[in-house]
Amino acid sequence: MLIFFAMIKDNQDRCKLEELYLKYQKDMFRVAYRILNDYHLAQDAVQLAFIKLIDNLDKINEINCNGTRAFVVIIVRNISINIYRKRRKESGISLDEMEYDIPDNNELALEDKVINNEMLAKILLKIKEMHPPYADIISLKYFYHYSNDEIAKMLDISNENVRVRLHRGRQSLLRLLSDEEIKK
Amino acid sequence: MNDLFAEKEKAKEKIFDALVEYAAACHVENIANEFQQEDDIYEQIPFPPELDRRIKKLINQYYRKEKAKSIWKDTKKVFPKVAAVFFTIFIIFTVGIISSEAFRIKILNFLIQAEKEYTSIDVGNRDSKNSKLDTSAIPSDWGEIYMPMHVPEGFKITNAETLSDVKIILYSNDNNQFIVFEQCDNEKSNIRIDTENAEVQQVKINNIEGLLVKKNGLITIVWHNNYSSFSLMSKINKEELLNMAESVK
Repeated sequence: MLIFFAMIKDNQDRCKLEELYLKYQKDMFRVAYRILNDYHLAQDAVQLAFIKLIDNLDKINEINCNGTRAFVVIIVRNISINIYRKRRKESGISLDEMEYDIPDNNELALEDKVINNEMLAKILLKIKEMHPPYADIISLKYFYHYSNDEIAKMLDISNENVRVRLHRGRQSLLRLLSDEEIKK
Repeated sequence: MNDLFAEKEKAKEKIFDALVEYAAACHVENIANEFQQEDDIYEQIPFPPELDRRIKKLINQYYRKEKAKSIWKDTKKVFPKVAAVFFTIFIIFTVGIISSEAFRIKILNFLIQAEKEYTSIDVGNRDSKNSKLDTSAIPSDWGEIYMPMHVPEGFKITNAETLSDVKIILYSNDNNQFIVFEQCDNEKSNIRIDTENAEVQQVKINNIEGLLVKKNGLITIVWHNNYSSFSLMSKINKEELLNMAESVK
């Protein structure tokens, strides 16, 4: 009897995993290919991303929802970026260095400028301009409510790296919003 | 004053965290909307069959691992209960055997019966092969002696002794029947028969003249060869006893 019930539960998990794969396989491959532009590397990225999804299967409730779709995309995108970074390491260019030397100055002063009634509409616009890895990590932290440890494990980066990216993400958002205010 | 300022700063921090949370939700929504639009360029790239095989293999591996984990988890839950049941049964048996004589006898009889069944099969095999040749009771200092080659079914040597130069071998069976076989050298022959009020008839044992005496159900056959004299005494069937006599070598 015990083995029968164990099998039912395992069957449910297996169905969930298969459903997830069937629903998002093409999206995953597309995202990976877009970043890596290499047929074989894209396959590796999708496989690695799928392993991460298996590890976090218990956190995925609804397969057919936008939240899950975005989560899948975030994972694949960041895995693909990791693979891209490793290949570009020789060039000495790191994606982190490319843009985001955001001075860590006076957060309080900027906060004073951005917190007003039109804020929400601006956020909706400006978030599109944020560098995707920063936006992704902010989503994982503040929308999906993963801990720093969980994010580090998921994206194969260190805890320190997660903290730095979260900080830079927040700074980036502030900068984007405050620039809008300054232009006014 | 300072407390109030700190509280306001804390509150501002919370507001900003809420904004960041909102930004995160907007980002998730953007991703979802992005993939609802058709993307012609990337649609043309075929989904690799090799990748399909790899992912399906991953799914199967995951399934097997989860199944094993689940069965182990359930077994761990049940195991203490099963162990407790067995332990209880063991304690009951032990207490029963120690305290109740009737129970102890029953258990021991069961074990002995099982042992007997094995034993009886084993003994049966031995009987069918070796009973005629089982001479372990014969003293080793007797040297070469005459022995009946044919012994009636169920009889085996139970005793052997020397009495006034006569070598006596006693055969018996489980029904408490006996056969006595005596032999001695002709020079020292001392075999005696009680023939008073007995039926006496002459018989031939391997073409040698002999005597058969019947008294009170007891049959005695005496005969001799060139070297030794013999007698067989028993209450068994006359023909069986004659066969036994004829087989002495």
